[in-house]
Amino acid sequence: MGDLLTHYVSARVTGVRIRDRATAMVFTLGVFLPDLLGKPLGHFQGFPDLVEVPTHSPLGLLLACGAACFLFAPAFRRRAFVALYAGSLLHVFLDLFKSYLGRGAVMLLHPFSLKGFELGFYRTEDVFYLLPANLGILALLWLAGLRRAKPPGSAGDMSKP
Amino acid sequence: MKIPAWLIFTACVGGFAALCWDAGVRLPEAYPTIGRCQADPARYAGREIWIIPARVSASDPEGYEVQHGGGGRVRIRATSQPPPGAYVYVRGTFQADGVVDQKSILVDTHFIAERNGTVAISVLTLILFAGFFHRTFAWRSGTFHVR
Repeated sequence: MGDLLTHYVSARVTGVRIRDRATAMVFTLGVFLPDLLGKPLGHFQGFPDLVEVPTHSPLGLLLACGAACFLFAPAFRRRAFVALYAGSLLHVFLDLFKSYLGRGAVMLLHPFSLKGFELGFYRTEDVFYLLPANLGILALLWLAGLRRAKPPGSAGDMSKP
Repeated sequence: MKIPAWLIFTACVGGFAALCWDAGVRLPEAYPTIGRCQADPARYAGREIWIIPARVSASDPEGYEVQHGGGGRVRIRATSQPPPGAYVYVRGTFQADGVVDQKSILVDTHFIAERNGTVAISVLTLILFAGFFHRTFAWRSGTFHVR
């Protein structure tokens, strides 16, 4: 379990324009998906080291999301796949900013290349210090949601005579 | 021609499993752990390795010793020494004598508290999300349906 709050905030910020609540929810699930798949795989006794790498690569996630979308009803499945995959890619993009002292946080091109990529801006544990910023962003989003939900004719609504 | 859903599902699961198998075979060789290097020092001599993260168990003017994730200990040759008890991220070169020559290091004196805090925050986030998800979707006849 890495830093799911930061990933959740990234999903809320980038998904702010998604009007359909179900699609936004699946987009957020997609943001969690790489860690939900990767952490159990990586800690499973008897599995080799780094077996979880496809849970954080674009090709691996394409296949994982292709399978995971079958958890949803057929009428919603195509949209679920797109939302899951977009969310998963957002997770990988955010993980690129992590630091592993140059080893590479994400193997973007696996299985075609074993090269690791990272921008080296923060460590997983630094999310502890990002907590105030994350909570602040969530509070702002919550307030914005309240303003949007304010019914017409309520105090401050100047659209009526 | 419409491809049957079961065939797409099977191809995705099979393809993903194949990628995991490939990663498990090739990546441990490309990025060997310190435990792997110690098991066969001659083979991995001169290879660049990463120890992420490890507790410093002892230090002296020529280096320090860490307890790594594999349960063993390894000596790091370095000009600066982190205090015993601190956690370090080390990048270095494995030598045939079993010592690692440090190239770069990141010292963290609050690693356990930070890691526990991170896990607690993540678990709480996941529980809250599960609640929101349950309000949006209902599980009926083997799939999630929008409520």
